[in-house]
Amino acid sequence: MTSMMPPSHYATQLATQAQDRLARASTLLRSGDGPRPLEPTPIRIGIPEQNGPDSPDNPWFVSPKPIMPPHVPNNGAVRLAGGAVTAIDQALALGSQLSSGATTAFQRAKDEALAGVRMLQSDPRMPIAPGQPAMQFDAAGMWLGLAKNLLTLDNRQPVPRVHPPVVRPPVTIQPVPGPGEPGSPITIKPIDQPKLDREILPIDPITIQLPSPDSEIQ
Amino acid sequence: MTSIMHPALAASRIADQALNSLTAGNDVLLGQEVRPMHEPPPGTSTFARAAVHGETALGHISRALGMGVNNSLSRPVMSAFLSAQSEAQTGVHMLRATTLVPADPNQVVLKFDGAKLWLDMAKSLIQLDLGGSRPQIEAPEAMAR
Repeated sequence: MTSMMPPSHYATQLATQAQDRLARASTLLRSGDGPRPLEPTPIRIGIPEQNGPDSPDNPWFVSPKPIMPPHVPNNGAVRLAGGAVTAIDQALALGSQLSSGATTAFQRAKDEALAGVRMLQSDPRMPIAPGQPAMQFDAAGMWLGLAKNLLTLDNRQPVPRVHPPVVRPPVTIQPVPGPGEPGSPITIKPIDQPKLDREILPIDPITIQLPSPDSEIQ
Repeated sequence: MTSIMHPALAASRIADQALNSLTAGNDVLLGQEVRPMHEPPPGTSTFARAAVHGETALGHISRALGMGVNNSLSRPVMSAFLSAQSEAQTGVHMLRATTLVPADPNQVVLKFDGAKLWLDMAKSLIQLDLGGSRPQIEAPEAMAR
């Protein structure tokens, strides 16, 4: 037997999963351990055919010193964040079954998480501090928290309104007065039939002869 | 000497004021209002009093959004403020509606509560932005271009 889970509950579970993965990714990044994701490669600036002498005066000067990428630990952070994005996508796939506010919060969470992933996978020439992608993942987790709160709000039953107590006038039950006393029930007598001055004679029955269907109409 | 507050910090303070106004509006609608001696004027209906609180919150939110005109606030913060504005505006519209069928106060409370959640989010994001220099994120579609 398959039990149907309400879409908002399913979305809340997905948000919790994504939050957990993002928190772990952020913790890993902040811990500073892990292998370097990208090997340093010398960056050659310019077109080899047009290179002249390696002097600063040459606009096609090739720096002999390779530009080292920043040390951005990536010990599974990308994989964790990718899993979080997948969970967010599953929540977004619920579409119109979620409120627009919750959908917006999920979308913002995805934007933040993807931005963090892009930072980790970015060009090594772009210096990025490890704390920056971690901060993106933190922000994504906050958006997911908001999405969960909005889903809770959507499911909330209206709060019963507090009405002031209604003061009604006291009801007094009066004894029923006896016959002849003031306030006693009135007895309605039947109305006498008026007497006619003369007797109404019965009307003789009238016989009407209908024309036969064969007769001509003149 | 005049001290200049960081725009994001000022926006966070303004968000607090908007939160207070929305809470006051909900208190009116839920019959938990604490009425000061000098206000509201006698004869003001419950809906009108709650709407005034909602409109006050909208004014605060507009001021906070004004802080972001020079990119002083990050895009996510602006998004959160705009969503809060939308929710609060809907609640005020429900209270000010001139239809024959009166608005359900509970639905307005839900709208104001939604706006409060967005304002809390805006404040949290401001704290995150102030804690570290978070770069501006472009939307994926914008990055694709």
